[in-house]
Amino acid sequence: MTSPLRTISRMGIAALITALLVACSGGTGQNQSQVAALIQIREVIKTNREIKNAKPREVTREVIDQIGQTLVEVEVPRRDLTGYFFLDSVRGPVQVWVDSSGAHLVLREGLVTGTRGVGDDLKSSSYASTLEAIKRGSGTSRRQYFVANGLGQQDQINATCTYSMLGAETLSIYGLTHATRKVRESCRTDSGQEFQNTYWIETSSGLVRQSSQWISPQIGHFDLRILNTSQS
Amino acid sequence: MAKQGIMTALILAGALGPAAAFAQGLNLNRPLRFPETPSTPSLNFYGLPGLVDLPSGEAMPDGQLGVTVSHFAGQTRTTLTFQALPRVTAAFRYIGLQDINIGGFETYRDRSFDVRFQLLREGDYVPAVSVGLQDFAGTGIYAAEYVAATKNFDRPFGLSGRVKVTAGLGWGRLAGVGDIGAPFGSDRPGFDPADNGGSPATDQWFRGPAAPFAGIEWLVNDRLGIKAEYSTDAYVLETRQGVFERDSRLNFGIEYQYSDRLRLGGYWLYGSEIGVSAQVQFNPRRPATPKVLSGPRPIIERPSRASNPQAWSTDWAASQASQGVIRDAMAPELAEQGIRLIALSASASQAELRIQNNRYRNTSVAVGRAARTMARVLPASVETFRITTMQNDLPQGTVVIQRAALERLEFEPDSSGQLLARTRFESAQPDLPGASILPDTHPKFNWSIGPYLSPSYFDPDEPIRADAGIAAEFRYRFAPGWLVAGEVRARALGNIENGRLSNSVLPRVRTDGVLYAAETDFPIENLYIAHQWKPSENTFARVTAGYLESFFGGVSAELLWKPNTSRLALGVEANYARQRDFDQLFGFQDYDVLTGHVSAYYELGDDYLVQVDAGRYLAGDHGATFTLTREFTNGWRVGGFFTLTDVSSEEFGEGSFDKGISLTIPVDWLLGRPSNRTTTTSIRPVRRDGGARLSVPGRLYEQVRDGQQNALVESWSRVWE
Repeated sequence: MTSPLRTISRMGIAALITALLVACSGGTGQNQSQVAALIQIREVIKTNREIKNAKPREVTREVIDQIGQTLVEVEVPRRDLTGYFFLDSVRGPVQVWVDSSGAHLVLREGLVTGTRGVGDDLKSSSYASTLEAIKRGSGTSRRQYFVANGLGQQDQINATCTYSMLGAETLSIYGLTHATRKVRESCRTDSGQEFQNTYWIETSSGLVRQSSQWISPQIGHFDLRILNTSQS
Repeated sequence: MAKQGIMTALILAGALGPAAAFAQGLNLNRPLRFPETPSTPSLNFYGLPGLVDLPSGEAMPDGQLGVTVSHFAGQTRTTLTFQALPRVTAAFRYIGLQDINIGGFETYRDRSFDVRFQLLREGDYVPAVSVGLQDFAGTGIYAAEYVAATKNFDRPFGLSGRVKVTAGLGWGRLAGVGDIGAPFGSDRPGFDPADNGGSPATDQWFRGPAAPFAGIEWLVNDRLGIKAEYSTDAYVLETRQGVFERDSRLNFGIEYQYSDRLRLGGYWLYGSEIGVSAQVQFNPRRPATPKVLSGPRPIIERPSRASNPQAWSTDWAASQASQGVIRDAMAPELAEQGIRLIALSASASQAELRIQNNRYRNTSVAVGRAARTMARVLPASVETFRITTMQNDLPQGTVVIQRAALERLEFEPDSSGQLLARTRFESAQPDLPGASILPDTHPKFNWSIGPYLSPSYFDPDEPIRADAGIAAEFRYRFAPGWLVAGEVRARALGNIENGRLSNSVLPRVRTDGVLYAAETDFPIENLYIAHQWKPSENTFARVTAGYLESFFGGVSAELLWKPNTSRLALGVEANYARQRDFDQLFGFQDYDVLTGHVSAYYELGDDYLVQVDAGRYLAGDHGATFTLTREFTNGWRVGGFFTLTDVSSEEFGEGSFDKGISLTIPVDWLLGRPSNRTTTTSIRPVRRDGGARLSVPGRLYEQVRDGQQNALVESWSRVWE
C-alpha cells in the first residue's frame, strides 16, 4: 500500500535540480542557512579534487638553490607524504617553520616540539631533559607528548626513553655531504607502546641535520632533513 | 628575528614553479586505510553487538555510533545504536514485517528501543557480561531480556585470528524454545498489536520462561568473520502467520569488512531463509575528513623596557584617535581569520576586545587567535587582555588573559594547560563604556535561495514521507539586538499530503501536517521580528513576535539566567500562540493557547547536558520534558528526550507519551574545513499532540553557552591553534 510521490510534473523536479545547482546566498553578514552549508560543501569538493590532481615537482639541488633559502624536508612514512617548510619566525631557541598549505612545524634545537595544521597535531611536548640526553648520547629521559584527539581536546602520553650512540655516519643530501654522529633514542610509553627515534648530529655545527622523530600515535614518525642552499 | 614568508620565497624563486611544487603541503587529508581505531565488535540483526539474532556481552567503544540494516524473510530491521556511556548501549529501531497481516496491517511497521548495560568488562580470565532489555517500550513485538557473557580467545588451537564465544540466558522472545523454567515467575503478558504501547513494560521484564542460548564468532582476519549460533527465538508470531518456516534452531553467517566503517554479511537462518545485513560504525572521535586548520600568526614578543623604553610609553592612551587607529589595525587581521571585531576599548594597561566568532567550531580557537592579534597590535604597556565573545549581539562571556603569559608559554610543554592556569573567566557586562565600535556593524542583511527537504517519519503506511522544493529566506539585523527574518517555500513535489488524517482527541496542534501540506504549495514557513539583549551581567532576554513556525504564530518572551562560571542555568519562557490557517499565509484559525515553561539546564561533568522544562504545552496539557544529551567537543551531540504530561496515554494515542532522540552533526566533521555550522535532526517514533512545545526560533541557551567558561575550558587545548 505504497503511495507514489505526487507528480506535479517534470517541471517540479527540474526546478529542484536547478535550485541545487544555482543555490546561492548573499548579504553583508554571516550566513547560517542550510543553503550556505551546501555551497561550502560544493566548494570543498572542488578544492579537494584540485589538490588530488596537483602533481608535485621533483626536488633537486638546482631547485633548492633557486629558492635560495634553507628548507626543512619532512616525510611522513605512514601517510606516504612529503612536505617542504620555510622558516617563518624565530623566538630564542624555538623556530617556527611553515609550508605552503599553512601547516606549522615547531623545532627547538632540532627537536620537534609541536605541529599545527597537520591533522592529529602534536600540541606541545617537553624538551629540556631530552635535548640534554641527545647531546650526551647516553642516559635516560622522561618525555611528555600532548596530542590532539578527535574531540577537540588533548591526550597526554608519557614515555621513558634511553639513549645510545651509534657511531659516525656521512650523509649525502641532494649533492651536499655532511659528517654526522648518530644517536638512537628508544622509548616506551606508559601504555606499553614502543618506538625509536634517530638523530644525525652534524659534527661541525652541532645542528641536527637529519632525524626520524615520533610525533603522535596517529601520525607516527616524521623524517626530517635540513636542506641548505649551496651558498650557505 | 627573521620573518620570511612564503611570498618572499615566491619572489626569490622568480616564478610560481618551486612554490607550486609544494602545493600539496603536508595536508594530511587522505584518510588512512584502517586507522588505529579501537577494535569494535560486529553487530547482530538487532543492531547491537552480537551474533545473528542473539546478543553478546560486549559493548562498542565509548561514543560509537552504529547504523545496521538487516533483512530476512520479509523482515527488515533498521537500527541506530549509540554507545552512550562506556557501559551503556542504547538503540532505536524501525522494523517492517511484510505479509504478516496483524493488527489490520498487511505490512506491520513498528519502532522499538533497546538498552544494554555491561556489568563486567572482559579481563584475562573473566568474560564480558551484559544485561539487556530488547524492545522495552512500545508494542513489544520483539520484547526480550537477557544476560549474556562473551569471551575472546586469540589464536585458539593454532587457528588464525580470534574466536569469540558467547553464552547467555534469555527471556521473552529469546525463550521461545528450550526453556529451563521461569526463575522470576511465569506471569508474562503476551504481545498485543492493539495496545498503544510506548511505556516501559516493567511488569514483564525477566518474567516468564528463560532459555539458554549460545554462539561463536570466528574473526579469521581483520576483514572476514564467520558466525554460528543456537537461537532460542521461536518466531511464534511470524511462523503462525506464514511469514516463513522455521526448520532449525541454528543460524550461520559470513561477514566481510568492506571498508573501515562498513561491514556486509550474508546468512543462512533457521534452516530455511537467506538473510543479509549491512552495518556501519563510526565514532565522532575519527572525523570523516581529518580536520585541518591553517596555523596562526606568531606572537610578537615585546622588546624589553631597557632596550626600548619608548615602546612602553603610555601617552597614546590619552588620545581618543588612537582607539580608532588600533581598531582599524586589528579589524582586517581578525577578519582574515574569520573573526569580526565589534568593539574595542584600550587603556594604558588593559584592553577589552568584543568579537564574534564566525569560523571556528570551538570559541577557544577564536579567543586564542584574537589574543595573538592583540599581542601583535597593542602598544607594549597593555598588560591585560579582556576578550568578550558575542553571538548575535549578545555578549556571552569574558576571558581575561595576561599578555606576559601569552609571550612566555606558547612553546612550553602543556602550553594550553599552563595558559589556562593563568586565565580568568568573568560574566560579560552588557556594554563596554568608551568603546570604539566599527561603523559598519549594522545594518546587516542576509538572504539565500536553495532547495529544501522536509521529512516526516513513521506513518504506518510509509516509513518516510518527504516534501521537497525551493526555499527563500532572509535575515535583516537593522540595529544591535534586532532581527527581522522570514522564510518562504515553494513546494515542488512531495507525498506528505497523502498521509493519514489525524485521529487525535486532543487539539490537533501537531498532527494536522497532512492538512497543511495539502492546502498550499507556497507556505510562509516563518516571518517574525525579534529583539534580544543582556539586562545584566548574568541575564539574557528575548522577545519574538510574528509567524514563529509552520503551524503557529504569536508572541514569545524569554529570560535566561546564566552566569559565565556556572554549570546551572535557569530560564523562563512565556508564549501566546495561535494556530495558523492551513494555507500558511497571514491568517489564523480560532485555536489559541497560552504556553510557557520554566527550564533548568545543567552541564554535567565534561560531556553531558541535562535539561528539564516544566510548564504548559500547546494542547493545553501540563507536564515536564526531560532531556539528556551527550555532547562532544567537536560538535557531535546525541540525545534522548521524553515528556510526561497530564494527558493520559489513551488520550495521547499511539506511543502513550512523547519521546525521541536527537542527533547533531557538525559540518566540519564531514568537510575537514573549519566551520561552526551544525545540522540537527530529531527523530520521534510517533508524532502526536501531547507534550508539544512551540517551536520558537532563537531560544537563548544555545546562543549563549558556546562562549562561556564550560565550553571554553572543554576545548581549551585548541587555544594555541
